[in-house]
Amino acid sequence: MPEKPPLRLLTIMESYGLPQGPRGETWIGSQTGDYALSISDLGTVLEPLSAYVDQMLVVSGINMQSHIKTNAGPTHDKLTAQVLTGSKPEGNGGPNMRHVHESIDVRIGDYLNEEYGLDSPRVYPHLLLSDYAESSKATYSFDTQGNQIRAISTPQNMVSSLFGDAGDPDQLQLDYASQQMALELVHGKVRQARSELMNVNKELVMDAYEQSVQDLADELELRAANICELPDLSGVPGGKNVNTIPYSFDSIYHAFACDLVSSVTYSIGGENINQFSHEFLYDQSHGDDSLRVLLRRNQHSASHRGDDVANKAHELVRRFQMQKLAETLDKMSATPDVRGGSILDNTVIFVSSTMSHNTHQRSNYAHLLIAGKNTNLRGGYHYDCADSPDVTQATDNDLLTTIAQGLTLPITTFGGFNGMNNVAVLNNGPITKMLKQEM
Amino acid sequence: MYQQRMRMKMSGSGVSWSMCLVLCALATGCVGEISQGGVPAPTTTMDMSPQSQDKALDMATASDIPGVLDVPDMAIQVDDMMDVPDASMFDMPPELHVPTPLARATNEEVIESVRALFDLSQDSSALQNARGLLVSEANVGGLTSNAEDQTLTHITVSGYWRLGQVAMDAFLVGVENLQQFDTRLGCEARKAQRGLVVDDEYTREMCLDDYAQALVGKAYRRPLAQDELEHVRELLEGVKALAVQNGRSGETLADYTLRMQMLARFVVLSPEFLLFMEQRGESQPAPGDPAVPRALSNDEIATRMSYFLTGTLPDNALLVDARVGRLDDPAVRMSHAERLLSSPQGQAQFVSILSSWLGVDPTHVDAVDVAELNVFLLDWFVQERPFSDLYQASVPVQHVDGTAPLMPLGVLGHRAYVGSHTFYPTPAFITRGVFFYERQLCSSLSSDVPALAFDAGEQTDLEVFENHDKMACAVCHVQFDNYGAMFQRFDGETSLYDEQDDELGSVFTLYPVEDVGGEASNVDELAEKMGQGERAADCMSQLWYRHAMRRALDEEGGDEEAMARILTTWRDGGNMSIKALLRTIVLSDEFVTFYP
Repeated sequence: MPEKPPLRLLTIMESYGLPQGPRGETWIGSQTGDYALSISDLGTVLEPLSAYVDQMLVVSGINMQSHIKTNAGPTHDKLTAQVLTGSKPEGNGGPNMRHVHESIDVRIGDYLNEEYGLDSPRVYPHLLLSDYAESSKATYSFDTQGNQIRAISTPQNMVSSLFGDAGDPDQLQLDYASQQMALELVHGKVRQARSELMNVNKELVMDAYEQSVQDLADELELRAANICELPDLSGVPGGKNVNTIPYSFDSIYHAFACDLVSSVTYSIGGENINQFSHEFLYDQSHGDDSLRVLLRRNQHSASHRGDDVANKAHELVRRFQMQKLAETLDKMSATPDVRGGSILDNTVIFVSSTMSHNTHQRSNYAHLLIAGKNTNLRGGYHYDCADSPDVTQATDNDLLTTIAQGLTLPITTFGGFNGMNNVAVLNNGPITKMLKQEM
Repeated sequence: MYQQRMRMKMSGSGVSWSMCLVLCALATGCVGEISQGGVPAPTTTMDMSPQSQDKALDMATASDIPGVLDVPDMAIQVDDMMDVPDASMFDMPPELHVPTPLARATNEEVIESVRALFDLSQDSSALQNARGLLVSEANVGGLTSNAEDQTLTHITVSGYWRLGQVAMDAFLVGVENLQQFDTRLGCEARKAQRGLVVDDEYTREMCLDDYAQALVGKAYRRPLAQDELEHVRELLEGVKALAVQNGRSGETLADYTLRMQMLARFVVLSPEFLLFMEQRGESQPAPGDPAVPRALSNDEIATRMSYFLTGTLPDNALLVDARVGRLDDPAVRMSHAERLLSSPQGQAQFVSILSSWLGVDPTHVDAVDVAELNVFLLDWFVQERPFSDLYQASVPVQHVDGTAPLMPLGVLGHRAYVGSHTFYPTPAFITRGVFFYERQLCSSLSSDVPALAFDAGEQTDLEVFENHDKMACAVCHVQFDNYGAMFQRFDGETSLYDEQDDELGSVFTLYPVEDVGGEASNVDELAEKMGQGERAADCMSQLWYRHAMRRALDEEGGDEEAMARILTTWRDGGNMSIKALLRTIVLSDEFVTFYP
């Protein structure tokens, strides 16, 4: 029996989507009907990915039904919390939000890491990375208990956290063995403290403490067996509001190349809100100085305007992101994977956004998937998932289920756990036309 | 539907306020003498003899030994201490006790504690960079210290783990040989502290052992048990054995450095360092038994005071008094509180919390503006200016026409504050309004936002704003829109965004929140309502009480009486400075009590 390919997921989440009006020029020539993609169909935002058109799945007509039908309220934090979970969060807004289950990126990461038949688990089932930390907002990713996962923010911290130290392999082995010894001592103290405390929340705190220390011990064991090449961050510019997107992509590439992680969720431009100045994207040919001003500010401003200048700003920012993604895909396609083929062959890239378009809208998202040849998704097509006389409109839950099946996770529903009968209401099953084979 | 969440009665209506006063008067000593004259700051000093301090501290005290407690000049004159009522256990029905959560130090507290632990300087670039190792944390109402929101994960733990090594590397930076290593550890002083003379043997191993014990004791903020001492030795010897197994001598600088790094990683990730563990090992209430409040130990009081007032490890002066049991005495606590509030760490902690509470975002506003606001906050704090100055002190306000007239706006006139809540162009109406309503008025909106089929269509944002009151959106927007609109106009003639200002009305009706509300036409009038009313001060006291307790306030009433008592004491104390509020909290029974 042939070995399974070492599949991976890269989820790239942006905050504001893409304005609806000009999508014919910026995104895809036609959002109607299913058809085979050609380069001429790609709009200005997608054009940098032309080399991968045969692996692209451009998906139109998906509304965030899990959000609309569960009556959640279109605030930034709630939409962010919902987009990868397909469920209405519990608790108050912002950091208090919880879910009753994990997000799809975590679910897939756990599956690929532990149940998929890899020779050994990767160091991380899932990672949430962000260019910038905005701690007061909610997050995209939730763990198996439904708790918010906080992001590792900035490329420098990504490298430090993911790759640890470089050095002489013998020295590193001694270092890892010493760390295990120290960590075992910590573990003992955690266990001892649990029995001696009386705070009402002690079980919750100490459970998490003990598990986290165990996870760290597991990580060290894996690191000792897998010493990685480090990304070069020497070119990261200093100061505030610098655009670190290229360096974050490079960290992600190295994490895949070193086979450290099964599922990466990347909050591009910053956690929940695009923080960077994109003034460098402006040139004199654009003419309108108000565009330059808008590019300098965070993209929330443009999101709420919806006029031509704001739409142009969105287009330029999203195009830049796709350019950097394309450069990363180039490296992934040129890098051999652990069981043959390239890293890209074994990877699904899901590009989506918190909102579909400006002013907190949740309808007709501009979804993009790029599917390696060893995954279970059928690339090279535009998929129209809107209502039609023959087909019920697919929901965001259905899309998440489809992505899961695209990575061989055999689930038929996902999300919708809050409220009466929401699982059934929100789930129609995977979008089979996007799959090579239904699981 | 948006709904007003239940607000604490103590912060609002006259009926419950009166009741609080009656209850407070009945509570033993809860107002008493303190309320008559506030809590004066002790000013005289008395040296504590080195001998008595040595006796009190069962550990090293040489101030020049790195990683060891040093004894600063004490500023406590017990005999002249003001008349402060005896501490008494808060007599409240058990069902109203709000349990003390097991909380973890915030990222900033961890960084500052590590700085103190490893004697790193304020400008340590290693520590500055290491902040990024710690995963971002939940900020609830301007605070990151709420125990309920401190989820510990693998990634968070990894950050602490690496921080330990970074700190030790910074401590050992510049050490290039074993002689320098000995010097960095303060071996000579440690030898003397053992009472050894020049000819007595004092090996590097003995010095390392002494250093490690002092370091761990300082991190744990209490004397170490014998088994804990043994564990530290086992670690140091075990790492050495590993090195030897790998063909190394175990005696090189690299070998000692590795042992120090592992020691540091262990200490920083220890639950005793990261968690605020109180009443540990004490008898636990049997199932079904009422949870009786317990007095904190002196070491626990020292830790609470130090982290509440300075955000870092207790200093030697606090520990000295803790070890001899003097922190049960409110007068001694008061003296230490005064000292800590006047320290650079105390001032920095205050500015940090206020700045966070005000939502100041250094990534969105100029550093110069942030610095100006911090100077304003620090002056308000240090000079013990009245609470009303927070909103009504005269500050230069930058207008779009380039002028900067002095206006009585306090923080509301600072560009760092306004700019942090500006998302150009129009959503500032809403984002400022929501922030102000929730944060500075401590008023809550329900999370159940109606999912209205809203589409702005061809409307401009300004038109959307103006139409809020004509649509179903009004059910919530009426509460905060107009608070945000106040910031469009700093006076009757000049606005922040004058091209839009012309299109706005001239008078807005502010949604009533206790004694703030009614008609206003510009931010001056809003500032006056905040400075003169009781609501804003109530909200400020909630902020600091939450920080002291490291948990959200109990909306079912468990905190009602304590908060009312603290407010009364603060108000009756004179000019209602923020220091007076902090002193009042430190003196409260709740501050020195553990509720199972």
